[in-house]
Amino acid sequence: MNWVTTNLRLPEDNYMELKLTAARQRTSLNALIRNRLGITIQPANKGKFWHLIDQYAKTVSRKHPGISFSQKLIADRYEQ
Amino acid sequence: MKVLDASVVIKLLIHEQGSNKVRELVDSGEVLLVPDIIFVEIANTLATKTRLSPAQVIRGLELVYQMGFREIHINKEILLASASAAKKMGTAVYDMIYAQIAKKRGLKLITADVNFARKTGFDFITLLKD
Repeated sequence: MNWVTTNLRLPEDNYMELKLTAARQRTSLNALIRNRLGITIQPANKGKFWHLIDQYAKTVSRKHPGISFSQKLIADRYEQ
Repeated sequence: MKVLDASVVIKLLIHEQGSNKVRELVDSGEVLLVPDIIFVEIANTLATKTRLSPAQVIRGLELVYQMGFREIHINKEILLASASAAKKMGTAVYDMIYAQIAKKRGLKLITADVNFARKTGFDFITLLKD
């Protein structure tokens, strides 16, 4: 993917709102705007990313045999 | 483009029924939408319903942030529509937010919540099957 750096003119109120949202989400204004436009940046090394996920899931599964986090999350919604 | 429910995404953090199917979805390169509340929901489940250490909870959330989902900010319009529909159909507001995002955009919602799908009867809901 080729990338282009550009200037963007925005109303000040919208700009401030975006800056605040980015700060709250601990992300950059760049990343926030890209995200809202539906532009996602996949991890540079997908294989490594899935390896990290697998490692994490394996560790978690050992600690929680037979447990479904999905079902716990669903139950959580109705316990609030 | 599809909307993913938190009950689906969290399956990537543990080996449980449907985890492989979720991996296929996320790895497909298709644009996947999630409301920003998904991070709060997953954080809450990891923090309050598991035996994970604080560091493991943070690690799990970091991995979810790296999955490359397109985040949808929950604005007033989405929240009001979700609260109203949830009240009418007897569901929680949380899952209804995902449904309203999918409905408004004419997209499929993938969920693992069988009861929510049955209660609402929404034809745009697809249950995750292994």
